[in-house]
This record gives sequence, structure tokens and C-alpha cells, in this order.
Amino acid sequence: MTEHRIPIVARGEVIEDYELTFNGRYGASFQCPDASKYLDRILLPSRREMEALYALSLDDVLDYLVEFGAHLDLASNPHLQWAAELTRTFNDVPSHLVEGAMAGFGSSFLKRDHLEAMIETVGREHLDGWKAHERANGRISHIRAFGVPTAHVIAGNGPSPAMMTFVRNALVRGYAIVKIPSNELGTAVALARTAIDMAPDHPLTRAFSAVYWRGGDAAFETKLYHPRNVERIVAWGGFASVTHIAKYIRPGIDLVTFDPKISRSILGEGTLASDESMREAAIRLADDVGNGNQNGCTNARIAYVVCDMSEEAIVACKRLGQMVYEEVQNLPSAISSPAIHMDADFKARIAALSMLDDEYHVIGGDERGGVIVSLEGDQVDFADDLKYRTLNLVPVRDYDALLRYVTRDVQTVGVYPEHVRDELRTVLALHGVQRITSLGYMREYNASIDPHDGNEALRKMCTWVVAEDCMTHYSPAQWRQREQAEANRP
Amino acid sequence: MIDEFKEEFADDPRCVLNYPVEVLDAVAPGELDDIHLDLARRRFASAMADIPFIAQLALLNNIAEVSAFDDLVPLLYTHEVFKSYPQAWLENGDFKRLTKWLGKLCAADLSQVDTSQCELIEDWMAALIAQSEIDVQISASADGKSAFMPRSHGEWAFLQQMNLKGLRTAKNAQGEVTGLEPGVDRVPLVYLGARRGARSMSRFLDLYEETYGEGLVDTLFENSDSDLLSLAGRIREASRKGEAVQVRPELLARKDDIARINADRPARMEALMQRMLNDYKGKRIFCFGTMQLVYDLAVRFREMGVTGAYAPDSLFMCGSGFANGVEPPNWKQEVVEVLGIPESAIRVGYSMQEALWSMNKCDHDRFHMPASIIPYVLDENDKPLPREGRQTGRFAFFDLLPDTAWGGFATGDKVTVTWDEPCGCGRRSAHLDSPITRIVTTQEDKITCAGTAGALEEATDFLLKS
Repeated sequence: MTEHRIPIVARGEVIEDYELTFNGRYGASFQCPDASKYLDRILLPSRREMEALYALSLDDVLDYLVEFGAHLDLASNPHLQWAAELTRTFNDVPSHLVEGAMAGFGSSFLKRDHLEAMIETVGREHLDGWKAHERANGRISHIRAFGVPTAHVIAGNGPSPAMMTFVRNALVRGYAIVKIPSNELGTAVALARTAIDMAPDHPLTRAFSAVYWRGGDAAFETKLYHPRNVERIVAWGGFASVTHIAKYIRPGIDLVTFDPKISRSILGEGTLASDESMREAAIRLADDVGNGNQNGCTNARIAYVVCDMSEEAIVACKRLGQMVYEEVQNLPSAISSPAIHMDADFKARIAALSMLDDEYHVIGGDERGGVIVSLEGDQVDFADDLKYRTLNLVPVRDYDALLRYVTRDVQTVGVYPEHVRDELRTVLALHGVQRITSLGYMREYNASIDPHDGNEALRKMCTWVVAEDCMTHYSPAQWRQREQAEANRP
Repeated sequence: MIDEFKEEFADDPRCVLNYPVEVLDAVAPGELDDIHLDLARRRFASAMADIPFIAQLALLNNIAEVSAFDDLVPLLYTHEVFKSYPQAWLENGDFKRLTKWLGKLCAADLSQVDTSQCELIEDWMAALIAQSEIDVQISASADGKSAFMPRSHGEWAFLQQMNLKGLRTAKNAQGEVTGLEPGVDRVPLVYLGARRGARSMSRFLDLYEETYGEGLVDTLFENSDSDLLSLAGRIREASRKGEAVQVRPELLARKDDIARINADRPARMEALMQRMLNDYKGKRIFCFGTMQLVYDLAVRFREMGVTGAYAPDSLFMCGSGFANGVEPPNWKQEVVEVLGIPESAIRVGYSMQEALWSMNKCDHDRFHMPASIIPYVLDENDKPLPREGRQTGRFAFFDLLPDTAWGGFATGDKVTVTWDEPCGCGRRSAHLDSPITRIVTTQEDKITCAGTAGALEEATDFLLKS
């Protein structure tokens, strides 16, 4: 059996003292060093370590990242190859999708114009120096956005969260300690090692550490999550993981969360009006459902169809469901493929719905995917857990009927036709939805530029510091006022 | 005797009730394979005709016939099956549809059951008992949805007979059968749970009193309420998702009762402790609880200076493990000293409500497979591992005894099975390592859900605030 060994990369240094064994997903185990033992090497010895980051200009940072992108070619980078290989054992995202995501690192994510767009979300003037603001009372406020030592508890459903974290940390010039997820063990380490190969002593290389510890390991986390060590925790992850992190939050540590989300589609009135509109909606919806094998938070799991609920409308919904199923099968294999294995529980749930044929109409439902049409307009209980390219199509009489299902767990809503967005965006936002987009574009979410799960992520990862100049314009101070009043007295 | 057993077993597997354990334990693994397969094949054929869910699973998995044990694997139920109804039906009290759904999971005809008078789960369960052969078992699950398992009266009765057989054929430290004669032995049975209600145990307690006399059963609580159990799970899940919970007015109307029961809890525990200390001191008793409860009891007694509390032919039956999943070192020795019983009188069992069997740990700390099941060990993709050597994975079984319910079930338990190396205790059957853990806890970075007890308190709080 292959030994899977996950080193700690601490501030530019690779630690390979494989002492502990952990169980990963799908039965395989891996070894890694004892993070507790190396905590002092993971932590900054002093905040003065960060001064080197601020000796760089933002253009130096950009140059570093663009060059870094050039080193992230999967065909020639052994670290990325190692990380991609690990996902075959520890992750259920098919490897060609993992490799596809990795291919985007250098070819699009780390391109200069993309990085500039990310900078734009904070403002170059705040990241590259002190931006002066003249205040009404004469004070000049110089404001700068600073990165701070931050623990990043990232998601493991693909290699992108590690990449995003690397870049975000570099742009804000923080110090990142990435908690490696148990189902995506390789990417953070691969990025750190690539940086070491490229520029071992560069301050940005030394500003990114990757460490595995078992999430919830109170002995380690109590030591790590102290304001002396980290001032911010950026947590991607479920209710359970955020709840347990929340107990470490106190004055001095703040929390930025990107919780797991689900996404849905709304097909407005008129969708069922013609074969053309149904086919158009089906083609677009199929991409939203199947692209990336429905592993992402942006994938559609439910589509509401606004209709009069008449017998004809229900028949049309079944036909629409059939079309979506067919179009899912037509997706190119580079972006979507049948499930490698389906878990027994999911099969049992689908089998149960297949039997309840007065209430549900099930199309497919095997490794190739499926569509469940809710004949009475009630979405299925496990709608948020739909996977293997399975969609729940829910006919509803009007918007009110679907809004009762919409909570802040819904990240993206894909709409068809376009006017649905204009009618609903405010209402959806008030129900907690964070992104509304055109049907067929749900997967094309660029959370590094647009708001991420309701957050201005990069801004929120900054600590905003003001350096005030009260003397240049001789802004009158409180303690000065009495003196002046006395001097002015006749 | 073994040949006689095999012959009868091939015809009617329920004959296991009539054979001494020594005979059953002397059957080697493999010896029953042909009979098992034949019984499974017959069971599958009839289920294809009278259990719609099995027909559906067979269709989805392209299974037309059972020609090897592995063919049954895609047809195993999981806990998910017993909660595959839409939650809204339960919230709206749509027991008509729930009945129809339940009827598809088993071979019973429930089409004539009138549920029009049912307002609560308890009403529904009573209607099913009165009007059909089904006596449904409810359980709460970690995701907040209640699971309903259909079982026939006959199947329950069989299970209780098996349990009773366990008590009747118990042996003392000298290896002699202690016996339990109706009309002669009046042994108090203490159950550290509820006398009536949601758990399958109440059915056994009924039988025990019917057989050995009224008033012999002593329990911690009077009743375990199915509606409250169901609500508890629902509230936990809803609070996780930030959804509103709908509470049926019929349930809300009972909130004072529930508050009183909850307030009485500590006093009841204390009162039972006192009875165990005073009323049963020096007597032969049977006690059913979890390892944790029995251990807690012993620790308490020890603090009070009690040793040798009960007659040595008493029995303590312990299901499941310790609250934190870790056995305190030497817990058995500590317990036996205080309770005054031999170590063999502490029986650690492995069973579940989906099973018509239970396994007791042997002297070599191993659980032995009963003859009445086809066991499986599944890998992480739910594919069967070879039936040889030592295998670790998810435990599943096909129980050959039920004829109304479906006997195939994949548990959530992680086990290690030794298929072909006989155990040092002399039994020949395949055997399981102990302790048995849950599948989920073996994955790192997974946080487990709170237990049912905590959730029940949450539910009570919620009701009181409504």
C-alpha cells in the first residue's frame, strides 16, 4: 500500500518528521508530523518578521505572483502532480476535474489582469501605501489595509481554495497558516513547495504555511488560536466546523466565514411556453447541474418552475425534466461525467421517491444522474444533499411558493428568463441569497473578484489602520481650545 | 444433532429458537452456505412480489435473481430507507400517505388501515397495531428525521422469545444453567429505560411479565413518547438550518405533561437507585442497561461502601458502549466486585433494532455470528469484501428470519470480522472484534451529532416556550 505523507511547510521550511497517522476519507490513511511539536516554527517569532513584506511594493507582489503562475504548470510541476494524485485517493472529485482546476492556476488565476481586478476590490491605494483623506476639521487620515497573521481553515472540495488563499494572503501581505483539509491534502503543500523552489527566501514564500492537524484537536487549537498568534480566522466549512471554531473567537480574533452553500434556479413564467424556450432552459440548466459533477456550492440542486400547476403544466414539467436529463448526458466529459460510485443511502432515497409515484416523477436516478419532478410542488427533504448530477424540479404557482424555501444557505440563484432577476433580486437578497445570475452561468462564479458568499472577502481579510496627521493643517485640539479662548479674552 | 438442525433450518430458520446454543455454535462457517443461499433466494423471490421497495431496488440495480451472496448487497436496506418519506407528511399529520409509504417497505398489506382519527405518531402506531400485522418501531436519527421500521407482530414475538431464551439458558460461573421456571422463579427485572413507548424493549418487558408474573419489571421511566422523540430530532435539525419548526397543536397541548416528566427525571433516577440498593439487595435480579449506566451504578455503590450487592446468579445485560466511546480500564472487575456477581454475569451484547438476533461477547472478548444471518463486510464504496481471512469495514447482514419485514440491512457500524480462524472459546462461527465503532467516527475531521438525550431536553425547552 502506498504511504501518503503530508509534510508541514512552515515559513519556507519543509518538515518531514512523519510521526502521526490519520484516517482520511474513503478508508485511506496518511501520515504527517505532529503539528504541536512544531508550533513555534509555524508561528511568527515576532511581528517584525512581517516588515519585509512591507518593504515590497504592490508591483513587486504582482511580479512574484505572475512568476509563481508560470511555475504552476501541471505537466512540469512535480508538487502539483503529487497533489493531484492524492485527490484520487482522498477525494471524490474526478481527477480530470481536479487537473482542470489546477490548469487554471497559471493560465488564468495568476494572470496580471486578474490580479489587478482582485486588487481593485480593495483599492490599490490602500494596499500599496497610505492613502490620505482630508477631513473637515483639518485632520489628514492616512489609511492603509494590512494583512495580519491569519489561520485559514479551507474547504477541501477542490484545489482552488488553497490557490485562492495563497493569492489573497500575498495581496494583503498577511501571514497565512493554512489548515489542510483531510480530503484535499496536497494542494496547499504543493503551492508552498513550488514557492520555495522558485524563491526560497522571498518574504511572500515565508508568509504561507500549510499544516495538517485534526480539526477539533482542542490541545493544538487552544494554543494556535490566541490573539498573540493569529488575529483572524478565515473559515470555510460546515456548521459543525464553524461552531467549534467559534469558541476560540474573542476580542483580538475575528472570524470571516465562507459557509457551505447550496444553489438553486428559478425558471419564470413562460419557460414552459414553447419547445424552444424549454430546450434553451434545459441546455443551460444542465450545465448548472452537471458542470464539475455537482460537487460545488454553485451547482444547481433545485429548480423551481413557475407555472399554473395545471395538469398540462405538470406534464410539461416532466418533459422539461427529461430534456434536462438528456442535456446533462450531453455535457462534454471534460467538465462532467457519470458518478464513479453511488452511496447506498442515496440510492435508497431515490428508490423511495420512485415508488411514491403520485408525488414524484423520477427520471434516471442512477450513476448517470437524474431529475426528480415534485408533482405536488414540495421540494424533496434531501434537496440540499442532491449529488451525482441529480436535480429536483419543483413546479410552483408563484414566487411566494418558492420563497418559503429560500434561506441564507442559498448562495446563487440562476434565473431564466432574464427579467426574473430584475423582479426578484431585492427580495432574494432579503431572504439571504448572495448572488443572482443568468441560468447557465451559475458555475462561472469568480469569488476572487465579485463578493464571496456575501463578503467583500479581500477587504474583510484586511485590518484597516489609520495614521493621522493633526498638525499640518493645525487642526484645533480639545486641549488647545481653552488656551485659545483665554488668549482671545479681551 | 447438527444434521438434524441443518435439515430443519433449511425448511424453517426460526427453528434456531428450539436448539441449544451449543448446537448452533458447533456449526462451522461455510457449512450453512448452501442453505443460506437457498433461503435468501426464496426470500428474494417472494419479496419481489410483495415488497414494492425491493422490486424498485432490484430494478435500479439490475438484479433479476440471487445466485450468490453478493447479489443481495445492493438490496440491503439502510437506515435511510426507514425515513425515506417526505417530512411534510409527518408535520401535517398525513398518516394516510405515511401508511401507504410504510406498506411499500414490507410485505404487509396496509391498504385497509384507517388512519382518519390519527393526530399524533402515537395514534398512528396504535392504529397500525390494531388494524394490521405491523407494529412499527420509531427511532430518531442524527439528521433530525424520524425513522419508522415496519415489523410484524410475529417477528417481534419471535425476537422476545429469543431474548427470553437468553435468560432461561444463562449459565453461572460454574457453567450450570441457572434456569428460569415460570411460576417458580420470580426474578425482578430492572430496565434503565422506559417501561412503555418508543423502544422495542417495552415489548420484551410485556412478555417477561406475562410469563413470570406482573409487577416484576422495574424501570426508570414510565413512558418514552414517540411524538416527543420525533420532535426532538426535528428541532435539532431545524435550529441547525435556521428554519422554523411547525409543532402540531395536539402536541403543544401536552406540554405541561412533558414539563412534569422532565422535572421528575432526577428524582426518578434517585428513586430507582434507592430501590436497587434497598429492595433488591442480596436478591437475584436481571438488569438491562448500557455499560455506562451499569458502571455509573457500580461507582455510586462503591462510594457508599457497598460490595456484593446481588445474588451471584444475577445477570447484567449491557448494550452499546460508554458515553465517550472509551471503556474505563478494568471496569468489569470494578463492577463485579461491587455487584457481587461473576464476570460471566455481565453480558455485553451487540444488536440493533433492525435485527432479530443479538450476539453476546464470549470469554475471548469476541462476538459470534448467529446462524440465522448472512453476514457481510462492506468496503467504503459499499462493495462486499471477500468472505475469508480478517476483513474490516461496514457491517451488513441478511437476516433470514423475518418474513414480513425485509431482512437485509447495512448498519452504520465498523467491524472487523474473522471469517475462517476459529475463536479460542471453541465456537466455530465467524466472529467480530470488540469494540465495535461507528463508521463515521473513523473519519477524521468529522464532528458527531449530539445524543438523543440532549436533543430531548432541547425539544422540551422548545415546547415550553411555545
